[in-house]
Amino acid sequence: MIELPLVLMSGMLGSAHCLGMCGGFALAIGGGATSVRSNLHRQLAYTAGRVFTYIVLGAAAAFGGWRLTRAMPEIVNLPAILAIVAGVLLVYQGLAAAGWIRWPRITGAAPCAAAGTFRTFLTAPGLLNPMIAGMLTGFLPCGLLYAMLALAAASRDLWIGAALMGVFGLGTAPAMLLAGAGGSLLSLAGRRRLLVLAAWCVVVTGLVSIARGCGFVTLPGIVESGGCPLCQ
Amino acid sequence: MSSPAAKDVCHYCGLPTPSRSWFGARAHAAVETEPAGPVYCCSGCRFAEAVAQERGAEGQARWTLTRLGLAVFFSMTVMVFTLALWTQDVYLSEGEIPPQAGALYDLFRYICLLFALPVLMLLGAPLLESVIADLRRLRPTTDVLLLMGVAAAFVYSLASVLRGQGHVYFEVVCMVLVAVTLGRWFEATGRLKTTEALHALERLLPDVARVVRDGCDMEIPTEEIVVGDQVRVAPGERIAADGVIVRNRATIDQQAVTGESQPAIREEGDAVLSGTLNLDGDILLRATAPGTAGTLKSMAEAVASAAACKERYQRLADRVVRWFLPVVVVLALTALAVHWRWSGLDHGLLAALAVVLIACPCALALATPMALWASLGRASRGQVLVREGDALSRLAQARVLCFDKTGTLTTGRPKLTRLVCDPAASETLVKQAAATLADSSRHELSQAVVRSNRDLQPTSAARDVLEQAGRGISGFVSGVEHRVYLGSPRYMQENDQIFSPEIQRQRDQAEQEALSLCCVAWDGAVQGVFCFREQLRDEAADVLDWCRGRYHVVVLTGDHRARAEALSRELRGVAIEAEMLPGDKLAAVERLRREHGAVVMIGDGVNDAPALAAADVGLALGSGADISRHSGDVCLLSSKLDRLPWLIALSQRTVRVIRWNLLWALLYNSVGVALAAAGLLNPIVAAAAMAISSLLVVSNSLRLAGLTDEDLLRLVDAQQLLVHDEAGRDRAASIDDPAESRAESRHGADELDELAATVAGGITR
Repeated sequence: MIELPLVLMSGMLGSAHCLGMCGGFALAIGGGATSVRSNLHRQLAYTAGRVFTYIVLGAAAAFGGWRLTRAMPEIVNLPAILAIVAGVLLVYQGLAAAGWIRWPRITGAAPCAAAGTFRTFLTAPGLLNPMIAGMLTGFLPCGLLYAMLALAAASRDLWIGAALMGVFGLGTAPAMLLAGAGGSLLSLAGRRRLLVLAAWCVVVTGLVSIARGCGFVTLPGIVESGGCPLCQ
Repeated sequence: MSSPAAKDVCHYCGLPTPSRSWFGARAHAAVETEPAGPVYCCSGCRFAEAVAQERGAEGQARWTLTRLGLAVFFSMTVMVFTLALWTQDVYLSEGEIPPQAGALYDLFRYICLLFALPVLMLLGAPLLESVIADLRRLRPTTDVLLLMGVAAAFVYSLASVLRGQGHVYFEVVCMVLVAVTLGRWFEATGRLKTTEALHALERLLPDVARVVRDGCDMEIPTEEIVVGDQVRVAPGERIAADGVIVRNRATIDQQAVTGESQPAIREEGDAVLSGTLNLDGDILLRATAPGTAGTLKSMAEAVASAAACKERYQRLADRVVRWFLPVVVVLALTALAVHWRWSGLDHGLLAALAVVLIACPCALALATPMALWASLGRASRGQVLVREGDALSRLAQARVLCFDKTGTLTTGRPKLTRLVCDPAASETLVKQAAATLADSSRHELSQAVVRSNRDLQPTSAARDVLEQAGRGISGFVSGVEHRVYLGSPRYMQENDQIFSPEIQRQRDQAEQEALSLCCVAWDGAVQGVFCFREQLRDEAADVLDWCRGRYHVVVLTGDHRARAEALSRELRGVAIEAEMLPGDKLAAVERLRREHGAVVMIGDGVNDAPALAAADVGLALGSGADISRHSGDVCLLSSKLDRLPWLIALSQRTVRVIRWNLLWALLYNSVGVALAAAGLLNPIVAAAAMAISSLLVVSNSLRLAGLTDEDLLRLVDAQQLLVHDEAGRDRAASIDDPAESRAESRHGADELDELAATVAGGITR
């Protein structure tokens, strides 16, 4: 399980590049607060909601991966393929974040109907509403998220997939908390350095995933038994 | 919204609620006696309205949305544990299950039950409320079946959990409820967006107005303005009621109402319309119409009643929808019975639920009204008032375009070139008599006579006036003992008024020049002849060129042949039928329909009212007289001919969208129901498909509302008209001469008077 710490790091540092999209939500969450303390509570509730969604998505992705493997056991290297796809996606995201490639990033804008809903939840009082807002924003399209989900699918175990996404979500928490609670604390240069570091972290996670995938490929004769895939 | 049919429209989105019921006359009786409460067309609107109301009340807990959010949370949890269960009992065979897992999975089933229960409470309850309301109105929808299916799935799963064996379907219960609520809510907001365009006109009216009563200013709601109120309008405000300015002057932008892009100056005594924008002056006006019945209100109501009337395709959809409920009941029960027999009660239940979900006729019921409303809204945004929903689909099928000449192809503002007087008559008296008599007619030539004599002292109005459509007018005026006749040379001859040789010579010459003549006569002799030259509209030739490539085009005019031929040359050889009296025009329309097909009549004068009414679509131009406006199905407020290709494009596009919507809805429903009945469709997928299908129909229709002028003209290859229009606008913008611009705005004032009189006079036929 060398991924989990790396995934945590990816989340933690990778979230720096996501602040463009999700930082706004964090700031809006702060808007409904009356004090720093209540703001922190709201931020935590928001993050909890987001992590919850990631966990559910992770479990679902893992289930999907597992079903796919079972449905097509004759494709020996399906887990390898999943791992490689996830890795490529991650590397792509990392390189795009670092500004090394200038292709359109795999992100999209929230549908307009949903935007109004988010706003309603984001600014509503109470802790329940920020949590629901977090839950809903967890579904927002995000390239990094998709890449991580591909990784979860490659794990082909419900609980590992959920844990993987949970750890990723927790990793994104500090940056979002910082953004929401205190705005931008880092200087421009500092942020840029962090961004590059984050990008490389994502790339390394991707490379590890590809390496694992290639490992499966180069082990001829090993057919998945349907048991625990993580023992390998 | 205060539309005439307010009782039958949804309180949230404004769409008509299903009017057909399975209980026929009894339902109608029930509707009459039902308690006065808001009526909704579907549970989505009920939900969306609840959300909107809570959003309005600041600081209040948004319970409705929070409820949905919580339900999503619980459903997601149920889903994860269901996935865990699936890894065991769905996909692993007996031997593969590790024995120690049994207790764990039992726990998971209880967890699922625990989390599914609140979802049932949170989202099932509003659905139940909606179903009860529908049942009270004796208009059951498939929601009844949907709720029964969901409840059955829950009860079955509950029994499985308690017995410790059998499948559980809590995820179906949760996901179906969430998908149905979410889908319908989004659909309702989308629908609101479509109908919003229709209310754009109404929104031009300010909510409150400042009136001066008993010497002091007070703010009252716009609806409470009564005739005679003094209303104060500050610069930058929209005018709340039709009225006459009693103090100060202002530049008024009336584009929103008349389509006139050039702001006009209005001063004391000038009429202004509700909904127009006061640009610079602090004016006081006396209301000439109550706040509830101004020009703008009438326009908005006309559009609303057009939207309420059932369109051809909608009647078709209604007929189909009427059969939906019984067919769905039968299908669902059959699916339940067959699958129960073959593969167990749970499979039967799921198949029946899927049938109910996929067969929800939302998309079908929406297909036509959505497109129609979007299109009516788009039209009114382009200063085209469609008064009958059906007119759009008829327009799309037109084969013949008939144009009236005067006031339609020409500006309706003939220019006086000369006045020929009998040497024995006093020129002043001739002018005076003609102007006084002409004042009681709205015919273009009469108006032109009035305009050319503005410098004269006003006299008392003409008495005992008789008007003969298309010929002339007669009456008594002060200063002349005999009955005075004003009208065409033919009218003079019919009334035994003789042309003296000198005047006859002048008349022949003028007719050779193809001038329009308006004669004044009394005492058995023609006293004077006003000679007018007509001005073609800038865009007339281009629009006719466009039309001739696509339609059978005929121009109908009451003028005599020589003039018609001159005009035909000017219009690059268009077919003109001359010397047509109103009755002849009517006959011509009927003949053309027999020979070629659906006829569109475009006109504005008094004398083409019968033809407008008889044509398949009557298009009345903005500057027309009251009666013709009332016989038109469509009014072009801006009186610009280039709106015609624009409108044809819009109508064709609308019909296409309606057809696609219907086709999609029918296909989706029939294929979906077949799959669901065969047990091949998971209810979750069916619920998602239902939502997506409705959203598709809504967004497909919304595209109509988003079409730009350029898009529309490009659709019918009429881009050149757009260029033309812009050139015209540039020209209008470059008028610097204050005198000319003042004259222009005067010009506008007349049109406004007419428009106000016409529209406020009631659009009801």
